[in-house]
Amino acid sequence: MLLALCSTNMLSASKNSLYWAGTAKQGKDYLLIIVNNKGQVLRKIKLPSRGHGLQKSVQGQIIVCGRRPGTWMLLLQHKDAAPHWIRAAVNRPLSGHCCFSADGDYFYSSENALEVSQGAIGVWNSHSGERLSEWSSQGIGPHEIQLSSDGMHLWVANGGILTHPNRGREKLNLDTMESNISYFRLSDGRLIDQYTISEPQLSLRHICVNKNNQVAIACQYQGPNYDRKHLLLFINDRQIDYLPCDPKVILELDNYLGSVTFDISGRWVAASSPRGSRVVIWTLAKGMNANQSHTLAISDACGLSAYYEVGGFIISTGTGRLYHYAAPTKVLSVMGSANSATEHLLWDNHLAKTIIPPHYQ
Amino acid sequence: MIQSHPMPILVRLQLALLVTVSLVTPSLSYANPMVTSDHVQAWVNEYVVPSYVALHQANQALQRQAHQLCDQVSLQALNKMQPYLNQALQALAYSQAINGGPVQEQLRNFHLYYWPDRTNLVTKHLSQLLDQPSSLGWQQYDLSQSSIAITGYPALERLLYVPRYRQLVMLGKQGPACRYMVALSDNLLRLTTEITDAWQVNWRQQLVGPRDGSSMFKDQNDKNTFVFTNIDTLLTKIINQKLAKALTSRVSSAKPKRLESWRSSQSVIMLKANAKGLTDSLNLTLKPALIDANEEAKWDTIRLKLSFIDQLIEQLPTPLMVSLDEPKYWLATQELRNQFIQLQGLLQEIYPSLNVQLGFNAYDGD
Repeated sequence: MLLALCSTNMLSASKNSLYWAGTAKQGKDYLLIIVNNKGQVLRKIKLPSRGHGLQKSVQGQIIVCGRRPGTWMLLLQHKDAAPHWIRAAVNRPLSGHCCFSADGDYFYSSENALEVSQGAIGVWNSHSGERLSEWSSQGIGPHEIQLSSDGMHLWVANGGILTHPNRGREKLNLDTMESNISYFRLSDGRLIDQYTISEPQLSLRHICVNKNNQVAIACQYQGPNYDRKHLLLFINDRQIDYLPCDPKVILELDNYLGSVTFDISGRWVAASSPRGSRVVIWTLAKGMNANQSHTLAISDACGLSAYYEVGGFIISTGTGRLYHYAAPTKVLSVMGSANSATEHLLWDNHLAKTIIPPHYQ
Repeated sequence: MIQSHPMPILVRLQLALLVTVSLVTPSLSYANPMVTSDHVQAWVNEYVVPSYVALHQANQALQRQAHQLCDQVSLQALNKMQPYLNQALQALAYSQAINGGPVQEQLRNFHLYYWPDRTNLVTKHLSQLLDQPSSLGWQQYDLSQSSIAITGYPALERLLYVPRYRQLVMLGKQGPACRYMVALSDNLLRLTTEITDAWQVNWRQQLVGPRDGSSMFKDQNDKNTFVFTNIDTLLTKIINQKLAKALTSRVSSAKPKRLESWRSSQSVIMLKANAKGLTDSLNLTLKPALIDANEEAKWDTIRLKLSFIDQLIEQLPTPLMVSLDEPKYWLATQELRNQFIQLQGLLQEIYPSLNVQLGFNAYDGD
C-alpha cells in the first residue's frame, strides 16, 4: 500500500514548499544540496567525501550514503536539522544507496561483507542511528535498494561487481560476475524472489519501484565498450524483460545508465546516461507493454527525480544544471539558472527520489 | 646510470618565468574571459570541418590506391600504398581533438580506428577472416556489420605492413586479402562521408546556428563545454593511453608495442598531429578569450607549453617503437607525457573562469 509512503506533511504541501535534495561537487568540496521548487539552494552541507545515493522519508528525514570510501552516512531528521553523522559498520563498507522503511523509523543500507566477499543489507534505527541487524543481499556488490509498493518488502539490485576498499575502483571479478535483483521480506530479511538475466556482464545497478510494484532497472555493461547492450529492464508480475529501445539509442547510451526513476503516476519512466548525454523516456501501458517515448540530449545528465505532476521530472547534470522536464508536452526548462548554476555546483549521480503524494495512489 | 634527455633550457626558463609572472601578477582585467559564439564558429569552420574534410580526402586517395593495387598487385604497388595510409592516420590524429559528435555516433570512432586493442582482437579477427576459404565476395560485403576490430585503419595497417598479410595481398585481385582491402577502403570512405555530412547537416547547425531547444547545447556555455571537453578528452587519451601504456612505470618494463600504429611507425607522427589539433583548437577558442580579457600572460603560458611539447615530439626518434626501451628515449617520452599532464592541469585551472564545467558523472559516474 503506497499510502504508507506518504508523509502527513506532504498531504497539504503546496508547490512552493517542495524541495529536492542531491549531492554535488563544488570546487574541491563534496556537498549535500537542498533546493526548492525554483532550483534555489536552500541549504548546503559539506560532506567528508563524495556522496552517492540519498533518500527522503515520509517523516521528512534525509539519508545520504558516502561512496569510495563508503565509511559514512549523513542523517537529517528534517531538511533544517543538525547533521547526524553515522559510521559504517566494521568490515561493511557502504556500496551505494540507502532507503527508508515505509514509516521512516528504519533505514536500510547496501554494503559489502568483506570477509565473505558478498553483499549485505544493514538495518538501522533512523532516529538514533543505531545499527540493528543485517542480512545477506544474496549477491555480490549490492547497489541501489528500494522499498516495495506495499512497504513490506525490499528490492535490492545486486550489481554483481566485487570491489574492495583497498583496491579503489578496481573491479575484481569481471570474468565471473553475476548480477541479480533480489526481493526480500522486511520483517525477517527472507529472500522471496530473485531475478537474473543471461547477460553476465550486465550490472543491474539502479532501480525504481512504482505503485504497482513494477520495477525499472537501469544497467551498466561491463563488457567491451564497442559491444553495446540493452540497458533498461523491467519487472512486472514476477517476469523480467527488457524495455523496448531503439537500436540507435542503445548505441548512444554508451553502455551506461546512471539513474532511473518513475514519475509520480508510475506510468512514465526516465533513465539517464551521463556518458551518452541522454535521458530516455518510456511510457508504460498494461503489463510489460511499454513504449520508448522519446530521448532528450542533455550534457552529462544523470540525477533524476519525479516532479509533482504526471510525466514530470527533475534532471540534474554534472555540468551544473538543474532542469524541469514535462514529458507529456516535451518541454524542458532550466531551474535555478540564477542560483545553482552560477555557484558551479556539479551535480552528482543522484537526486533524492520523490515521495509520492496520496492523490496519485 | 640513466641520463636525462636534453631539454631546451631556454624554453624551460621562459616557461618558469611566465608561470611565476602569471601567478604573482594581479590580473589587469575586470571580467572573466569569455569564449564567444564567434570563437566556437571559428573552431567549427577552421578546425573541425577542415579536419574531417582532410580525413575524407585522405580516405578518397586511399580508396583509389586500394582499387588500383588490386588490379595490378606487386610489392612495389603495396609499398606505394603505405604513404596513403600514413596520410590518413595523420589526418585522423589531427581530427582527434574532436571526440564527440558524429564520430562518436554509430560507434564510428571504433569502426575507423579500433585502438587500444588490449586483447589483440584485430589480429585474431583478421586471421579468422582471411583464413576462411568462404571469404569470397568481399566487394559486396557490408563491413558496417562486421566486428569493429576489422573495419578500419588497424586492419589495413596490418595488410600493408605485416609480412604475413602482405603475402596474402600479393595473391592479387582474386585473393581474399586484396578484395578485403578494397572493402576496407570503401568502408573508411563511407564512414568519413557520414561524418562530414553529419557535421554539415546537423552538428554545425547545433554549434553555430540559432538557439534550438532540441539541441544538446542549451546555451553558449554548453557549446564551450563541448569544445573543451573534446580537448580534455584527447589530453587524457594521450596521457593515459597513447603514452602511459607503452611507458609503464620503468624503462625495463616498457612496452613499445603498446604505442599506437607502431607497425607503420606512425606513433610519433600521430602525436605530433594530435598536438597540432590541440594547438589549433586552443588558438581559435582560448587564445582570443584570454587576450580579450587582458590575460595574455595566461595564454603565453599555454602557448609556450604547447611549443615545448612540439619540440619534445620533434626530438623523439621515428620509429619510436624500436627506441622506447632505451633509457634516453624512455625518459624523453616520459617527459613528454609530463608536459601533457601539466598542459591539462593548466587548462583545467582556467576552465572555471570560462564558466566551463568539464562534466562530472560522464567521467566518474557510478
